[in-house]
Amino acid sequence: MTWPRLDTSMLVNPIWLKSARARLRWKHVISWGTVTVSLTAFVFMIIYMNMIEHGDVTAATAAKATIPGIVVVQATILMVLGTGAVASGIAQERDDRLIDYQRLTPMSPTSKILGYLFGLPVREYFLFALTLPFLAVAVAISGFSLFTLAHFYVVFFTSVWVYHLTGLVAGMLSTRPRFASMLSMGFVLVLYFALPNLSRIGITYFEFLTIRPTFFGLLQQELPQRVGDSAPVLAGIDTFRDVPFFNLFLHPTVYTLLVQGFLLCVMFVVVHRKWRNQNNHALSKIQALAVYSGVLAFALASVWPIIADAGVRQQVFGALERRGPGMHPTESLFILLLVLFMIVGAAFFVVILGVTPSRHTAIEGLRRAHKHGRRRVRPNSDAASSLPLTIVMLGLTFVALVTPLRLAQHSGMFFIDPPSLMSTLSFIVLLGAIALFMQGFRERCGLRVFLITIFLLWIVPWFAMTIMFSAQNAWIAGAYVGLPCPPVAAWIAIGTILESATPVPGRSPEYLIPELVQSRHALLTTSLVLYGTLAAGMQFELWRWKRRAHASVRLATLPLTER
Amino acid sequence: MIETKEIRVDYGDVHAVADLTVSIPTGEVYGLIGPNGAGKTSLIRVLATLLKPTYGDARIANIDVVEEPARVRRLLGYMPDLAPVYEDLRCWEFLDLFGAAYFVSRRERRRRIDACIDQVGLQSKRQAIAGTLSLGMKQRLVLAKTLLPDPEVLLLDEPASGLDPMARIDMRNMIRDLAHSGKTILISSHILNELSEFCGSIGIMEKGRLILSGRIDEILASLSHKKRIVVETLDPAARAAEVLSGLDGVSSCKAEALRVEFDLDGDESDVAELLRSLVDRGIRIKAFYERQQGVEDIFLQIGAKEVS
Repeated sequence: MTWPRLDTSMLVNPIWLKSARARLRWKHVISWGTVTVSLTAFVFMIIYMNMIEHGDVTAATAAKATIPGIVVVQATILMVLGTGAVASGIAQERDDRLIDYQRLTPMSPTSKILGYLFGLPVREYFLFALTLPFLAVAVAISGFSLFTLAHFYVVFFTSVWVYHLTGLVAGMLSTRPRFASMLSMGFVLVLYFALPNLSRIGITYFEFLTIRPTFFGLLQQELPQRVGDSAPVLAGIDTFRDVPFFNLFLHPTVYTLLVQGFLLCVMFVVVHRKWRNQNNHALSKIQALAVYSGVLAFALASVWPIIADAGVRQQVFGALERRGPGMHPTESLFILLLVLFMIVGAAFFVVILGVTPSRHTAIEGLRRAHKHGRRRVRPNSDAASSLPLTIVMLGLTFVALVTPLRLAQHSGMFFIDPPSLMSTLSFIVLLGAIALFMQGFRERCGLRVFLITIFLLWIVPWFAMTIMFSAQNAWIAGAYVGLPCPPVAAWIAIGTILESATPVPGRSPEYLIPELVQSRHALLTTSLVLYGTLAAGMQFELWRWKRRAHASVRLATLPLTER
Repeated sequence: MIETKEIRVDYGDVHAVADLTVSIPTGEVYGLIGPNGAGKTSLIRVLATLLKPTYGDARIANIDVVEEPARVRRLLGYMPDLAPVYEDLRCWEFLDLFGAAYFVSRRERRRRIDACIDQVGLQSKRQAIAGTLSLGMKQRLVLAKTLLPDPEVLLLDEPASGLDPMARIDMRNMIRDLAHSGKTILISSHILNELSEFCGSIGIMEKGRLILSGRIDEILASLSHKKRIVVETLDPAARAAEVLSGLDGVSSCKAEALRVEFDLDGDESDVAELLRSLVDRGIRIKAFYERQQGVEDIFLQIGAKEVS
């Protein structure tokens, strides 16, 4: 009897194997390998020898001190070079239309994604492996805790995969592949360098998208004191503490894995959908709702303990208070609400932009529905209107923005008398109007028209307002000019909410510029009228267009290019 | 095997393909002709499941290409125009990649790679890096990749574009061999003579529309009942032309040097009678034959030249 032989070739991902063959030829291995080994050896030796010769420390301590240096080399290889290899590799394949070949093969989209994710940076993984002997020597000499090291590399690799998936997403999303690398770099800059700064005012989760907290926190615990001394200067070690998450305190590694896991899942879903069909939206309606809920949950989880726990608030706003003449608690609440609005608003904007169908998609969906004998498109399909999703998201947004106010009210640390119901309702109506206008406009008009109008309606007034404020001190006129910009309207609305409350005793809190306090109701009313009119007009126009489209598709006479 | 019904593909305001209906039976070799920009590539990309039509139905083996692209892809071999290759892979590695991606076992893969390399005549380039191949060889390599999973339907988009005359002849011979193997082939080209030799049917596209479609012989028959006769003489052809112009059923007579070409409205006995008349009147004839009309004649008679 003969046993069937296992065909091991089926176990190796063909796309990974293709990359391995192409990027790991001897000439690459030798040239890149020589550079990497030389560089790592240099880093290891310069730290080790200097500490031995001039540092008056033991060999174990000197070897321990080399570990951060080796990690920096590894991070450069995998995070910088690796991400570049992924973004440019996938963009190149799209540019050359080689990706069409891969689309047509019967491999599952998941296999293809994994093939590219681990295949495109295969040379960088190989170079990373070349640094491991140096790490092994350092660990062997120093007796560095293997548990700590393993703990660190878990976070290190999840960060690497987040970076690489970012490159893959940029490569798949970009309609012009040559921009993919720029888009990828933009994502990386925003996600890993700009947004982490929000941790300074309590929005901690962006900080944990990077390995900085783990790198400075976890590794430094094991390092000799002299090396560890430099860490606070790098302003990262203080973030490696249990992270407040609603009423809980999560271990930083758990929190990092939670945040990065969330992002990995989102990006994987996006790439998966794009693999199945390049014309698919990045997310389905339900997936978009889940992602938006996740962003709200993380944002609220960060804000919650700052409001509910005076100790946490002191930790976050203490630095600001030390710099100024003392901050009233309601002023910190004001800043938190504004930041929360900005994060939620940005997420809302991106989601609506991403899942609202163009007119072409909407009509295609209608035609397809008619072809299958249905009168309407399926609610979760890309062609379905994003209005129901917008309404559900608005509901969640109201909860996310009103919850901190209610929490502040119940904590007793902010108000004697709570904000008026009318001012809170005005804020809610304003948000609803802005969202419905944005959704209606996006669905009715093309992306280009939408973005240009948004620029003219939101950004230009903000520019004008800034000039009027700074150059002419024209506060009231400037505020009216800037009202179409949603953050300005939100600033006035949130300021009005807090002005309507009676704060706890202390320094008189200031939310709005003093000159605007008297005009706040008129400003709020103006913004309500402006966005109420825009939202009603745009939704009415959208409704009319949909009726026409339905009728035309039924009669099969509507040319797709009807404008 | 391949059916489209009122397919439309729009890019913004441009109708690349407009209400195109065509049916290609199993085993047929169908040539899609048209000037650049006529919509040939868009139609092929729809059938290859790479482009969603704006409207209409497209089916391959009775499977909807929009609704069930994964099933359709298992039947397809698609070769794009100016076929790209992974420039840093060896030829056999390139083929091995797609063999594995189509779940061909390692042993079978080796056999098929050898067979495909032989079929396209790349034996000497098996170990060569694909990026170092000439354009013609790259086209052959992609054709080998397309044939590797042994697809039932081949979609070949301008397979000979950019090739020099010799490579073009090689490519034509390869496709002719494929045509004899019983596969259903849709091939697009704007070089008409390429298609004459192996296409059973053709479709002519202009401005995204299929303005003519059917079997070549039927189209020719429907376009003209006249025979195109060529006479080569030993004496100046003007004398022969003079005689011919006085005969019944002869039209469009064109004489040049020792050759005269004309249309004859009549059957085989009329052809024989005409030959006898020429000989009786002392015309010394070197050759006398009916010129077979081809795709080029159809295209010229239709006069398609506008792009979409």
